[in-house]
Amino acid sequence: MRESRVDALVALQTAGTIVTLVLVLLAEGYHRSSYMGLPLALVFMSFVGTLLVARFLGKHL
Amino acid sequence: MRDIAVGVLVGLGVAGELLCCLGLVVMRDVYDRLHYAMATTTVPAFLIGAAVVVEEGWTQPGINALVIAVALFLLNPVTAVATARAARERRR
Repeated sequence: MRESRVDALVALQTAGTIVTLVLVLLAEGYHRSSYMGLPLALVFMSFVGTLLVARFLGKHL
Repeated sequence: MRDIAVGVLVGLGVAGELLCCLGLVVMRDVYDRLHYAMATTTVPAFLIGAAVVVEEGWTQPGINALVIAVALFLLNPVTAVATARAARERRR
C-alpha cells in the first residue's frame, strides 16, 4: 500500500489543484469575492512548491 | 435558467475532478497517475471557472476565477514535466 515519494508528489500536485478549486467555489458560494485572491495566490505557491520538491527529489532523495 | 446552468457546470466540474481522483487511486504507474493528476487542471477547472462567470458575469470574481483556471492550465504542465523527470532520475 505504501507508495514511493514521487507518487506522493503527484498526490500533492492534485491536492493543490483541488484545494484551489474548492477555495474558488467556497468564495463564490459564500459571496465573499474578496477571498478570490486566495486561490489565485495558492496556484502560484503550489506551482513553486511542487517545482522545488520535484527538483529536490530528482537530485538528492 | 441561470441557476440550472451554474448547477450543471459545477456538477460536471466536480464529477470530472472525482473521476480524475479515481484514476489516480486506480493506476499503478507514476506516469499514469501523473496523467490523471494533470487532467484535473484542464476541463474540470474551466467548467468551474465558467460556472463562476455565468453566476457573476464579467465582474472581478468571474474574471478572477477564469484567470485561476488559465493559470492552472498553463503552469501545471511545467510541474508535470519536472515530476516525470524526477521519477525517471529516481528509477535509473
